[in-house]
Amino acid sequence: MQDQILENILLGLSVAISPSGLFYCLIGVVLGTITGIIPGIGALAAVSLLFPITFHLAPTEALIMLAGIYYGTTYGGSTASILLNLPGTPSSAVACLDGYPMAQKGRGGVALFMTTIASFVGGSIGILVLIFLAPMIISVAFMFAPADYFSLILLGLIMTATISGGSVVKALIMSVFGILLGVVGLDVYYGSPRYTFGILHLYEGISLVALAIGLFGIAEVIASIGKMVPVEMSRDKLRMRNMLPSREEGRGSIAPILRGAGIGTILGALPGTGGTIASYISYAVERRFSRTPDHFGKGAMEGLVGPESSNNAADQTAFIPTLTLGIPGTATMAIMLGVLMIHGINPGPRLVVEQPALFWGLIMSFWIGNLLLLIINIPMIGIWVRILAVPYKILYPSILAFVCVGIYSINNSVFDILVVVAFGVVGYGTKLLGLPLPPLLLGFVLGPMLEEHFRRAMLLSQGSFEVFVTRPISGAAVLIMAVALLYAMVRFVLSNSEKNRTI
Amino acid sequence: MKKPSANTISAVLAITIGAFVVFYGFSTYRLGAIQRMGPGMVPVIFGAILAILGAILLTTEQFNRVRTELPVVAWRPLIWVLAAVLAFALALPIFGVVPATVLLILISSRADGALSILQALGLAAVMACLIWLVFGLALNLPIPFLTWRL
Repeated sequence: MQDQILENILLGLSVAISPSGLFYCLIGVVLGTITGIIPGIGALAAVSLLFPITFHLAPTEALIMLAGIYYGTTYGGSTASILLNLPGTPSSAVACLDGYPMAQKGRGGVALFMTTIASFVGGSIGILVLIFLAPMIISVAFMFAPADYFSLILLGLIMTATISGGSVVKALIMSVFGILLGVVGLDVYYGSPRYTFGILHLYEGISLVALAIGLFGIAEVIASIGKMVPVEMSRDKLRMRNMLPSREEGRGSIAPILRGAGIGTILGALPGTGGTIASYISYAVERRFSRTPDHFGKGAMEGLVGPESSNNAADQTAFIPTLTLGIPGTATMAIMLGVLMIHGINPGPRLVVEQPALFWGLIMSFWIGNLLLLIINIPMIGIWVRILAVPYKILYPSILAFVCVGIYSINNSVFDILVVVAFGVVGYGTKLLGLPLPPLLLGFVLGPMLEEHFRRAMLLSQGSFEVFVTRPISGAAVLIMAVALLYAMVRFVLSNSEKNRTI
Repeated sequence: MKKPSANTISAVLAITIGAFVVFYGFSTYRLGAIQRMGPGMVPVIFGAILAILGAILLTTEQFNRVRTELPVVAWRPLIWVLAAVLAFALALPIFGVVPATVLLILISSRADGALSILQALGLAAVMACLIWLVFGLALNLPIPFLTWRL
């Protein structure tokens, strides 16, 4: 067992440290940091906007670069949060709470240094768990039947809808809408076109990248135009000397960082939860543990490093279900999964056996990427922040141009650009209506798998629904779903009667 | 008449789309039996679920006294950005990527009107070069940068 793990790590390192591995990892984390700093562009938008560039690389390199973009945004997001109180990504919104007050007190350098360290430690712990847990899950996953996969996928969809915090019904509407969009194209079993309305381009289904870019990229641009105010830069110089924390601060941060990493590791691997929720929970926990809870919100170091460690750990462990089972837990992971499939790789237990170099190379590249972020972030923070000074009037036409050429370059297809336009409208419309977009994307990616496993399970069971309850894994998933839906209903009734009483 | 709330619009949309998927599926595709499903079965099931969820949202909204108002639509950015991307899609097969990019930037920059025409032209020139550098020189993609096909 131990020999096996060591062997895996060495194999992974040999891929990740190869010149091309390092090169694409570096490009990925730099691009990720830059897009993470720009407000409104989160990991989801960054990965979908930059995907076209990675499309033309070999699968391993493309994945290393995309993963770098993904966790790079988390680093970049916290930089914007701390210095300007503008969360670049949703998961770094918590960093505003105590990071910005620290910056106002002239301690922005210390805050940035400590978040970088916390992010690195959190990320590293997440990767360690990934290395040890992934082989174990894979050995169990070989026993999964279609019914188990069906229930686990459904669990992922329902947990995303019930945990997100907003209206559960609206989130479920979006997941089902996503599933229906995923139906468009040829039927897997009979090869007959479905809901293509005679359009030949739709036979292969709606392009995931075009859909994601429309929903997240174009819609975000439309919503942000005219609303982005130029930011005021503080004139303070960020020097290495005033970045170092005092000894007590350093020592006091160890426990919050470790607790945060623990919370993030667990929540990242579960379906439906991700970095954003992990960072909020970690913040709440630190506040409860603290002997001086009234310092929180005024620049408490624990309130900054705990959540930062937490969301970076979650970023890494989110890969566990995606890579080992092929079931992404969050919308961003759904894009990563889609990207794998576009490259002809089917994630799941067989991936590790058949392509160990890709699997372990990717995982070790996470660690190299985190190390690179640590190295490039600390001395270059001043440069990153300057990106915020680029006016939006220049930024948005450039983003549009880059995205349109990128999406066209994938298939040399003008039709894909039209798909982008259509989903730009859909994305902007749902934004206006207050409907959440991530469940739609998750439904779109998971829908075809859900259907395939459902049909296969029904075929095997001769049309009996009992399999979903009698098989232990599927049964457990069904039970959790039932509890989650029941809880959501109770919460809805309670909050509604409360709301109506106060009026 | 009161303006419908955002949730009411969402609910009506969900019911409409769900009902359409169900009827279209019923009339066009074979459903098959549950142990051997035809192409129509799964879409019809989920279409029905979508319509039911829409109905639930519509019903709960009637009891909800806190109405979610529909925000104002930002027509100007919406129309200019969509027009720019459409123009890009139309111009690309005829003139190639570089002219299409210039067109895209000129039109989309009208969305907030913050850049003057001259500035927009400058930005278009810079972006055209950048795109050629990334997609042509670095990635070496077989896409038409400058053509004339009618």
